[in-house]
Amino acid sequence: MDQGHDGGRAPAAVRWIARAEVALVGSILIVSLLITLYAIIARNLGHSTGDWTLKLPEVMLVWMTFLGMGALVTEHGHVAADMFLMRFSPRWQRIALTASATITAAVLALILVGAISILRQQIDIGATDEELFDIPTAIVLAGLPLGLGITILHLLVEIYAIWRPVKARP
Amino acid sequence: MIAVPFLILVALIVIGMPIGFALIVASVATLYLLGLAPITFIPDVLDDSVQHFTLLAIPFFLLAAELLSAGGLIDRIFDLARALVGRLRGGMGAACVIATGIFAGVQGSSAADAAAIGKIGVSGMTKQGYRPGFAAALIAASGATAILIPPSIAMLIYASMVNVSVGRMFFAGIVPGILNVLAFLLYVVWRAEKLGWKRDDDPVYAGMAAKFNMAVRAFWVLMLPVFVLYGFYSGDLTATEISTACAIYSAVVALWVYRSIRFRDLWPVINQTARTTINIFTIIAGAVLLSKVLTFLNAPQLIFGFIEDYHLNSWQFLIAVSAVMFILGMFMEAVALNVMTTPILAPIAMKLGIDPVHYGIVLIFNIEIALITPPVGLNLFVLAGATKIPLGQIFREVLPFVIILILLLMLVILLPQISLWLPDRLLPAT
Repeated sequence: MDQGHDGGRAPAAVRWIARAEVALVGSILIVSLLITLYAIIARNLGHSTGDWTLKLPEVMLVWMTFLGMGALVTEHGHVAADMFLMRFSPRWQRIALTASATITAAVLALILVGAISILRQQIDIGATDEELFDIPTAIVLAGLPLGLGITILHLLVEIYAIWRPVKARP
Repeated sequence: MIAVPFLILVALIVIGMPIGFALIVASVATLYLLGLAPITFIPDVLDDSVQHFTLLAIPFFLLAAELLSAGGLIDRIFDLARALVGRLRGGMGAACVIATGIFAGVQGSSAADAAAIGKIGVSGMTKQGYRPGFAAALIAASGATAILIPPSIAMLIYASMVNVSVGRMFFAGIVPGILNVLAFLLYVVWRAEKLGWKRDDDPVYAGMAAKFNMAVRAFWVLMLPVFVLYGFYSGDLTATEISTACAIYSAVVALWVYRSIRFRDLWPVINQTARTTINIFTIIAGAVLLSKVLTFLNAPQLIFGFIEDYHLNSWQFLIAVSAVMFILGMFMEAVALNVMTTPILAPIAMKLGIDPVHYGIVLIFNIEIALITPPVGLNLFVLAGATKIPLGQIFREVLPFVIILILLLMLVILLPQISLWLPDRLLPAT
C-alpha cells in the first residue's frame, strides 16, 4: 500500500493548480478551526453563538473533502494498494492505470449528473438554509458537484499524463 | 449477491485504483447492476457521509500532530523513552515501544506514529545489532497502538457513526492501550534476553537526573494527553472543541514555547494536514456508500440470521466478528474497514446486549491487527517506505506481534471490564 502509484507526471500548470486546490482546502480548514474556537470562547463568555457555528464547519468539511479530491489525483496522494500493480509489466501498468482513471471518471460523471439534478431542484423550489442565514441551499450543496467536476478534469489530465512521452533530461 | 461489491472492489484495487475511489465505484456499479436504488440517492449519501460535527475533530487532531512533528518534538519524546527504559536489556527496542506509546497519546493516527518514530527508531536499533526486519516490524506494531490510545481517529469515526460518547470511547482505550504497550515491552525484553541484545549504554540517558531532565524537556508535549482527557472528564467540551484546543495548544507550544518552528513553516504543515484530511474523508465517503449498498443487500439480516441459526452468545459473536475482520483486514484499508462494518455489525452487537463502547474497543483492536497484517498492512508499508527495508523481511518478523495482539484481543473480548471499567468510573453512561 502506498500514497499513490507511479502514474504519469501531469503538466506543470496542472500541478500548480493542484497545489492551489490543496491550499484552498487548507484555508477552509483554518477557517473552520477559527469558527469552532470562536464558539468555545463565546460560550464560555456566556454569549449564544447560534447554530451556524455547528452547521458551517460541517458544510466546510464536505467542501474540503470533495474540492481536494482531484488535487490528490494529480499529486498521486490517494492511498492505493499498488503491490499488485507492481507485478505487471510497464505497458500493462499503464493500461491498468488508464482503465482505473477512465472507470473512476465515468462513475464520478454519473454521480455528477445526479448531484446537478438535486442542485437544480433546490434552485427551482428556491430552498434556503435557515441555520446558515437563509443562504440558498444550492450554494451549501454545491461542494459535491464542484468537487466531482474538478476531480473528473484531474482524472482526464492523469490519463493524458500516463501516455505522454517523457522528455529525456540533459 | 453480497459478494458482488467485494469482487468488484478487489478487481479495482488490483488495477491500482485508489481505495477511496474503488469503494465509490464498487458501490455505484453494484447499485447499477442490481438496480437497487436511483442514482440521485448517491450524492445525498456522499454529502451526508462526511457532514458530521464530530468528524471535524479528525483534521484538528491531525493538525495538532503535524505541528508537533514539524516542531521536532518527537526527539524529546524519544529521548524521554530512552531515559526511562534504555537501561533494560534490549533497551533501544523498549524505548521505541514507549516512545510510540507516548506519541500515541499526543496524536491519533497509527501511520503517523509509525512514520514519526520509524526512522530514528530503526536506525538506533540496527546500530545495536537488531535485525532490520525486526526493528521495522516492532515500530509498525507499536505504532498501531495509536488507534487504541486516546486521542484516536478510529474511535472518533466509530463514535460518530454509533452515537456513543467520544469521551467514553477514549477512556475505554486507556487500559487496553497500556496492556498493549506493556505486552510489546515484555516481548522485546524477553527476546533481547534470549538473543543477547545490548542495553542502551549511552551515558546521556543514564541516571535519575537524566530521566528528570528528559521529562522536563518533554513536559509541554506530555501535557497534551492530560489536557485531552481532562477536557472529556470535565464534560464542558465536545470532541471537536477539544481537538480545536489541541491544535491551538500545539501551535503555541511549537511556535512560542519550544520555538522549534516559525510562522512561515505553518503553511506547509496546514497543507499536509489538508492532504491527509482529504485522503481519510474520501475513504470515509466511499465506505459509507458501500455500507449502504450492503444494507440494501440485506447484509445485517443475513448476519443476524446466522447468529440465530448457530445460537451465538455475545462473546462467540465477538470472536466470529474478529475472525471475519482478520480476513477482511488482510486486504482492506483501516478506515474503510471501520466505516464499512460498523453500521452493519454495531447494531447487531447492541441487540445481543454488548455495550457499544466495548464493541468499539474490540473493533479498534481488530483494526490495529489489520494495520500490521500482510499483504495490505498500512503500517508495514509506511515502515518499508521510510526505512527502505524489504517488505518480505518485515512480513516475517511481524508475526509474533500479530499473535500478541490476537491474545490481547481475546482477553478484551472475554473480560469486558478491561475496556469498560475506566469509562464507567469516570464518565458513566447517562
